[in-house]
Amino acid sequence: MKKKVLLMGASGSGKTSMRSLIFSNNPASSTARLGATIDVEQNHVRFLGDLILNLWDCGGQDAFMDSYLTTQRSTIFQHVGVMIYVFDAETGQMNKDLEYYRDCLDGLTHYSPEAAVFLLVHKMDLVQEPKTTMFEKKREVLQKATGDVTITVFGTSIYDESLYRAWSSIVHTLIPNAAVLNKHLNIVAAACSATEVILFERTTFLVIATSTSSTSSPFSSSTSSSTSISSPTYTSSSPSASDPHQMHPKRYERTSELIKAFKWSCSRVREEFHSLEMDMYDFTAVLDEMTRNTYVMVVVHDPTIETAAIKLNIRMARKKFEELQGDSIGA
Amino acid sequence: MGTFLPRIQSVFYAGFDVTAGPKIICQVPEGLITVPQPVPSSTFPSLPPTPSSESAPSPSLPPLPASRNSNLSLPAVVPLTDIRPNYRNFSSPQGKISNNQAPLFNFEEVSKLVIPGPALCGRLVICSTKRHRVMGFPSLLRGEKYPRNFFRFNLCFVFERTADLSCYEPIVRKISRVLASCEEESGFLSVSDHVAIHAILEQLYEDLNSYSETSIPIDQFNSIELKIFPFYPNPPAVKDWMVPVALINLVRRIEDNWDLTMAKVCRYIDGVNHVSRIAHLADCDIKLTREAISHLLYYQVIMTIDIFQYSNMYTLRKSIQWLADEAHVKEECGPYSTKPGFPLPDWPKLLHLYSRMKPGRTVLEWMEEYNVQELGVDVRRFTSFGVIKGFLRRVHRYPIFLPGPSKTITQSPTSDDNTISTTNLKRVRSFTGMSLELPIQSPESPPLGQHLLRGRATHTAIPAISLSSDQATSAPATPRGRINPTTSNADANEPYSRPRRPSAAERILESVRNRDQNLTRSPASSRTSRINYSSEPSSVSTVVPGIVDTANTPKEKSNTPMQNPRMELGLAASRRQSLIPPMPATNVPPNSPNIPRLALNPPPRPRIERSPSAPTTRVYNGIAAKSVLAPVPLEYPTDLMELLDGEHHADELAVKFEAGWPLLEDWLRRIGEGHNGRVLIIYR
Repeated sequence: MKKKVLLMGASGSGKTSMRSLIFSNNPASSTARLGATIDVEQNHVRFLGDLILNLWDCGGQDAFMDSYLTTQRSTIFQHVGVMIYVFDAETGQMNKDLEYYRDCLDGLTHYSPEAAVFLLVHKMDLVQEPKTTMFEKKREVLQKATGDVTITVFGTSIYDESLYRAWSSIVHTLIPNAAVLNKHLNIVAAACSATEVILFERTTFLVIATSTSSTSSPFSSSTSSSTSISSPTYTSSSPSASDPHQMHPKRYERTSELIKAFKWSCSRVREEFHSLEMDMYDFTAVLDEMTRNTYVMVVVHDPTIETAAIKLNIRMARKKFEELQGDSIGA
Repeated sequence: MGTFLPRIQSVFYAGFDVTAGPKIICQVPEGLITVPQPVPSSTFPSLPPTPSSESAPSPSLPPLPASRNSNLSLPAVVPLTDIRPNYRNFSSPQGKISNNQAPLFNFEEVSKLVIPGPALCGRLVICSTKRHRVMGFPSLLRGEKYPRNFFRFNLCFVFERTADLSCYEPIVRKISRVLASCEEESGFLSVSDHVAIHAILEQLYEDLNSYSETSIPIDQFNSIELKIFPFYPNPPAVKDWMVPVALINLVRRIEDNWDLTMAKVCRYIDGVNHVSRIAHLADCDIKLTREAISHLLYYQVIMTIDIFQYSNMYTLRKSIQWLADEAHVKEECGPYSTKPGFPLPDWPKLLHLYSRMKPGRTVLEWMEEYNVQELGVDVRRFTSFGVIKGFLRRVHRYPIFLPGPSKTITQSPTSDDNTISTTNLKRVRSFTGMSLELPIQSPESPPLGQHLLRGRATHTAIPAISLSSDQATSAPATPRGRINPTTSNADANEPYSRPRRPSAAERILESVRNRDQNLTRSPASSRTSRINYSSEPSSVSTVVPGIVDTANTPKEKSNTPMQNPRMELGLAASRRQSLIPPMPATNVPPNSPNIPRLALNPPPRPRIERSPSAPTTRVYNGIAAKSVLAPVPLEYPTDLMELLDGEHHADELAVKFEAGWPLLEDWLRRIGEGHNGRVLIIYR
């Protein structure tokens, strides 16, 4: 199954860098050496076995944008699954940006009314403190400019884990049967007496599904889902009652980021990352391959449970997940 | 042709702006390439004006209105009417449109190829619009100092779409190279203002169009030096069997300082001599001769046609449809093709004659059928007129040897070895594919050669030759010794069905064979007695339908049906017209069978000549062919086998082995019989 993902935004807003970080596994520092994207660069990313993300990285210069909105309008905006519009948090041309954004939104709603829209306020690392205020302001402006199309806004930066959170959410919308995966992850969690079981995509390490449905779920927002404006990662959330272990709300994306960095380090010494076992003071965690395209992380707070046992369970669950993976993507 | 250089319609310099994207920075003449105007904004009040991407600095224009996208008010431009999404104007970037020239095209059509992605950078890129072509060499320079880490530029030339751009390619490459290195050295392009670049463009445009050369200083140390050389394409390879035809009077242009070979060779270019003959006549090395002809081809002062032989076949090309109506064709054909003293036939008549040429019909047959002789048409000139004008094309014969399964021969005492059988009776297969029983009495007689060649070949069913009598009932030439269902050839007298009706040549050759065999027994056999067969519809599709050995066929005073008188006439005519001198019959084995009984003049051959000084031809049968009575050369050259791969046509083989078509055909037939397989002729 192919899903077309449009990545648009002003020139220099960070689209290609994002793509390089998440999908090509380059470290954040290497993105400084990228050049401007000429017209549209298409990438096919095999995400989960059958799911192929057809990523359209559209150059943001005026000449290109004008062309997308006029001569190439139907080509660009047809058959879109997700549109990600990137705003530079520090831009001096907000009006111009907004205008192009509106135009793109028009095109999208016309040609692909079913597409999901995500707005990323990027380069948040450059924003002065307090970041949350600034983010909120931006979000309001964007909401106003959008009108009544459903959008989800994230604040992101390639230099921290926020980008992983945003992209995990984005990709999550493309996996139709996440609920099923969720259910089975719960079964695994129960079998391992685990606090949490998380399923990652192998190459990008984006979170696909988790076993918990706590408030700090990586996907849904803390407020009601109908308005679908997720809480920005920059708000601090106090530990809720459902989280006795006081797990860090950003643990998912942090994990993604850290493991990816570690994988990259491994590749630099020409080794391949396979699995991770942690036997810590307060928890035990095992990160291991689940299927061909996924990794699973099992976090257990029960001190009596050995990592070997967890690994055994994972091994036994493998077959089921492979089966599920085929189903979950199935058209 | 090469001397006309296409005119440069426009020169422009394009770059990549990190905000605006690919854009034309300057162009000469101005305004020819339009740039898309973005839609003006009405919704959002703008921040400080961003300069419009299209405008080159032009002091005459008022400051742009503050909006995201500005419109330049311009003459001769469609005025902005409503503000709608998707509506854009295309306007010239500057106020003036010079020379009242209409815009050529819009930059957007080509911008993706003028400023392309990294894959196309550093390569010559030519793109076309509806009426023009744009040639450029996009450059991509990496550097930390540049915004977004790269500097892109492209200096392009615009031509008419139909122009031949080959001579400008080195120019475009060089300009790009020089500018790129200037940029690397001193940041010339990224730093300098557009006025300097504009001046360069102007000078390029003027000088290259006017003088085809220019010298532009860039800074203290660098300059652009350009000169356009007319560019002829490389000529095709020159083959020995090609016949050069002069398009200008070469001899008159020979000067003292000319290359010696060239001077000698030019004198023999007469539209009849082929290259190897020219080499011989001019007494030059063949390789040097080929070089000289190649040079003449390069400068397009000669063209090549093929060797004229009566056994050639021609056919019309598609271009006849319009060439038949061309005045120059209609008017020139008659005078060129008619022999002096004859009235000029009118063009419809000539056209009719041309249309009667088709593959499978040789020139001689065509001549006979349409009484070309009586019209006084010089056939050689007639056909070469058609070839030169381009509406007639030679159909070549490409022989190809296909090895095939051999059928067992019930009796085959003769094998491929060269031993002479001690038995008196040998199974001999004639070249026609018959098996004959012959007593061998004289080892050195020609039939020996025949035996050796005929080995294990199988043949079509053929009527047997009864050798007891003088008459040799010959089978028609099974073309090329086809593989036949095995029938026991034991009984040579069994009548077989005849595959096809032999031509006169074949009959003659056959008769010679039989006669020669008979000679051993009965020297008195008349050569005329052989012809005795029944006709049979041809079932062969691959064989040359009618091989008529025309002028070479010796005049036959006996009862060869039909063809002789015409052939004689043809001989006479060809003798007059062909410029190939008759071959002395003494030194070299004749190409065609000579009938010992007839006193023959060595027939003039309008075909490949073997020159007396040519390297010795192969020894045939160990018998020096000194006299007219010499027997037919029976063996074929061994090299010939390798060349029967369908890639070498008969002319090439003929020149290489110095054998005319009839002899070549004979050899091919022999090969077909002598080996397991068959020889097919492909017409192309």
